[in-house]
Amino acid sequence: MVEKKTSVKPLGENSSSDIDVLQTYFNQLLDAVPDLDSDSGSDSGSDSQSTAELRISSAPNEVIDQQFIKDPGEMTTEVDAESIDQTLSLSPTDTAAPEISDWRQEKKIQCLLFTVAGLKLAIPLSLLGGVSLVDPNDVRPLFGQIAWSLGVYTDKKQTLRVVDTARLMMPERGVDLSQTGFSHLIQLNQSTWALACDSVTETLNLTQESIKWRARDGARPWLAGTVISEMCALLDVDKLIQLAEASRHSKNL
Amino acid sequence: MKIWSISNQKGGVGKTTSVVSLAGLLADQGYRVLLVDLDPHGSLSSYFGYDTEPLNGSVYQLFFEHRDRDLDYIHGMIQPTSLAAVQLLPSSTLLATLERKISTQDGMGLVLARTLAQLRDEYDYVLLDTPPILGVLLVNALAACERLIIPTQTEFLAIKGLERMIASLQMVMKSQRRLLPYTILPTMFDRRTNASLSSLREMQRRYSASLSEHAIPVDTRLRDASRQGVFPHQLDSLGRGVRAYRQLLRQLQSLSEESTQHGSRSVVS
Ligand SMILES: Nc1ncnc2c1ncn2[C@@H]1O[C@H](COP(=O)(O)OP(=O)(O)OP(=O)(O)O)[C@@H](O)[C@H]1O
Ligand SMILES: [Mg+2]
Repeated sequence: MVEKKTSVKPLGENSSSDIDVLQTYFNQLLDAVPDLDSDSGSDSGSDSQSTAELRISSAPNEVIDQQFIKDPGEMTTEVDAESIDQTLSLSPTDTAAPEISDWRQEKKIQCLLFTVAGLKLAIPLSLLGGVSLVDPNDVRPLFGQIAWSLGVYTDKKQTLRVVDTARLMMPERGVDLSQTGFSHLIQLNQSTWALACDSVTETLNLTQESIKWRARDGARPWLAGTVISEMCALLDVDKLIQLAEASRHSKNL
Repeated sequence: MKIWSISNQKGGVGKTTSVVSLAGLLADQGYRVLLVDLDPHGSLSSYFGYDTEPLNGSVYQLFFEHRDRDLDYIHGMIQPTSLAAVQLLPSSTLLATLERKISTQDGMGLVLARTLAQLRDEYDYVLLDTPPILGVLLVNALAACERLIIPTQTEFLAIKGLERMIASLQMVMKSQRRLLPYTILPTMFDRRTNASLSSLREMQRRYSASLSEHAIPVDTRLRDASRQGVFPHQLDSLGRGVRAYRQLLRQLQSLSEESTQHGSRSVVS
């Protein structure tokens, strides 16, 4: 992980510690080989093979250093602020850190666009837990659930409660995803809830001007606003999770 | 199997165009080619008409559940192109979310190298198209390739992206403790403009040892080919752009022969 101390340091000067941070990033991505001795079972053979090949190519350190020295102009070690910035923003610690500021206040909001029964929706990437490609048959319906529950889906890591996004957001249309099908699950932040959808289309970088924020408290609590250029709904993920959780506790099934 | 990554940390410099042009010419020489689209924008995938989210999976899925080790799964993801000898491992919009989904701590930079190691008997060449930003995907490409080709537009300010790219390359070499040769490819060269001439001169001055012998000229036929979704050599086999790519390919092939003779080993051979 990129060291935390550097994230408070003003970016702009290319100091040697910036380079260290980047080098650490590369080292972590490249040095360790994950799960070599974990339960990977029968495929561990091919894995150790490819690892072996990666190691064969290792040259002694001096060789590389020689090349670095060979032509200092050619092999510049200069790293500019922008790439450091990018790297820091990639650090998982940053995304996992408790959100001090409201995502709505951000200057730039990156969103993933997806569609459900013709409806286009946007979810902020900072509140997106994950996306899985699923076969609807792998979502097991449960009895006694609220109408917009499609059931549960279990993958290797977790069990997700799957929401019929069409039924929740536009019950008036009478679309039933358990009949019409769906292809992806959009996990809401780190919750156990996921929205079923038809397709994932693209990511967008939104600025404050491109969003029409909704005045609070309307008939659709899950709507944070509208993305003007796309004419699509921007989701309020926290409200959605609250809504879903509330349904579990209500007896009103 | 030779793996070349076509990368620059600057956008719009001709990466995707170079990938498609070289792939077509390699197929023409009788080689089997795999293209890997590592760019979340998926312009390489859409070049061949794959515009929607791939249902059989994409590069994205390789990063989860050890699918980079599942050969059947990988085979299922590979798509045909208009040339039988060229196949595509498509991109996904979801790749844009990858940085947030995976940890950088557990060797996630080697996923592509592992995937390609499994395909080593099935292709003669693998060409990697990469996004113009430094992140897990670009690191995967650098870690998997044995040569980096850096298309660099011959215009003012082009050197900046090139410098950044070379800095990243050095870091990969340090991490992996190996030499990773690179070739700088001047693109969209127009000898009538000052910007083209002076930036090419700057590249010659600073990077002469790594500079390609052939610059790719501005050629609208390359753009036409992209619009029609065909390989450039199919549209105009003797066009200026295609001829320059053919010369480049010969140079790259002789370079890679040299390095094999001198015993420098590739990551995945
Ligand atoms: N030699 C050339 N002559 C004329 N046009 C070109 C040439 N090379 C590329 N182009 C055009 O320039 C544009 C950008 O090229 P390309 O998509 O290959 O760049 P890229 O580096 O892959 O961009 P990105 O960073 O967005 O992925 C395209 O419209 C392409 O058709
Ligand atoms: Mg491209």
